[in-house]
Amino acid sequence: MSQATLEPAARAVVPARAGFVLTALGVASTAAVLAGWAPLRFSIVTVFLFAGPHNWLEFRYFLTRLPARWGRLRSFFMLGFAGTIGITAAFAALLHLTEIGVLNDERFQQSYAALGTVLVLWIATLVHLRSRQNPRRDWGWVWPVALLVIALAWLNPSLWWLGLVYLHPLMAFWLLDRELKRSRPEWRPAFHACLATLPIFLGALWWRLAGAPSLAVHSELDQRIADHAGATVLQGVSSHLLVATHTFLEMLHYGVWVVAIPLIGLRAAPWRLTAVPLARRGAAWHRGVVTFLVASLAVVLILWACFCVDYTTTRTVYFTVALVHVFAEVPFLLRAL
Amino acid sequence: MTAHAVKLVVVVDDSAKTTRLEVPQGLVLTQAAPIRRGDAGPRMPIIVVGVALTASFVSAGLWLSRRGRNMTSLVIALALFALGSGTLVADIARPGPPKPAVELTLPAGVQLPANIRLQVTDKGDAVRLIVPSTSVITPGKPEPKRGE
Repeated sequence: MSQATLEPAARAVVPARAGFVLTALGVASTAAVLAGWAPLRFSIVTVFLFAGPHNWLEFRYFLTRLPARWGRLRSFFMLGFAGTIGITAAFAALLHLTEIGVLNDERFQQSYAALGTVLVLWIATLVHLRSRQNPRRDWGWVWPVALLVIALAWLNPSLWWLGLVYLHPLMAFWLLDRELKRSRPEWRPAFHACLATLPIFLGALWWRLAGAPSLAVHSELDQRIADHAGATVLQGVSSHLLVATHTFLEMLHYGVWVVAIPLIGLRAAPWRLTAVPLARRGAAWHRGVVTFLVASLAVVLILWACFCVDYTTTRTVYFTVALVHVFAEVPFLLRAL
Repeated sequence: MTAHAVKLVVVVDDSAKTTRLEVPQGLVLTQAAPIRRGDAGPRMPIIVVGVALTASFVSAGLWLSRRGRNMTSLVIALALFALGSGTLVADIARPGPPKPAVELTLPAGVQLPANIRLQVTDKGDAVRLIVPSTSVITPGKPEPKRGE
């Protein structure tokens, strides 16, 4: 009897899982080909199309995961939000001071290392706080690892921050894995198989582009894209390879936030707030959440308009302000562990 | 920037792979940027790296000791030791005992390459030109050809 009832469900899972795998591999293959073939244009198009929407969907997802009442989690979330805003503001200030020439190269490097130290200590403190929440975990290793990472940040600050640029897209995979564990555990092996192909895609890109000449820079925008991918930090590496790799990873990151997480993690259409705990807390909170989502949707539209008017400046400002979503992922990922 | 007389010494050193001109720091300080007191300068990152690494190993040891002995701790400790010692000795060459450096009297018969290395040293009061023994032209021996 139970066998008979399980069979149709099992049959339904297989096509859905196969669809997930085919979509994931299709997106990865297309992204790898386009990123390798025309990295600058692909980067421009993907950032224009997905930068705003993926941030909106990410904040929408965070709303789903934010408890209505923080209770004993208050210090964890307060520190999380304070660090997110504070470190982003400090980073923006540092960039501004560098742009106007207040910081010389030595001071610039030291300031970046100091900011990296603050970032690591913030994450380590959040990990420590999380380890003391139920279920309790022995995460005492976090302090030795954090101090080791701080040492690396001071050894080569520019390279360290560049490492974060490349690691950030991978955080989306981790969050998706936690979401699959919660919502679609039967899909996890397939997802892990897809993840195992990532080194193959990267290896193919590096094999094809390792000897490629660096990208011809025709404009300030080209230069900024190459710099963002680390062309000035890794001068011995082809900028074609760097931009292609970064754009490929960014596209996968966008794919996770724009397609996979909304399908799996939101439990309802993004505009339906039944699964948002804060919106169920009361009428005022409901109005607040609606206002926040509508306002942030307006920001996405404004971002598109600004991209159309001045793509280069908007992209620079966006990648500075968008650090908010990079850092905001930390407390929510820790809560999901 | 004033010119002043300094002693020049030519030294044959078999351990030297390239010709090198050593200039004591004291001789060039007048041309360098003024030292700002209270400015940690480029030393600070190294100090922070050292302190952070030390604190990392100490805290790792405390954490491992608190967890008690088990196979994982032992493997981690051994792996760190192997990684650290491997990194430390990876680039250290194992040469035999070096021959003592020989000071040549001027004018020294040496063949200099087009480019030499310039090194500012902490000690000394003379400018030293360090040359490998292959650069010394001995009487009766043909001069080494350029590019050899």
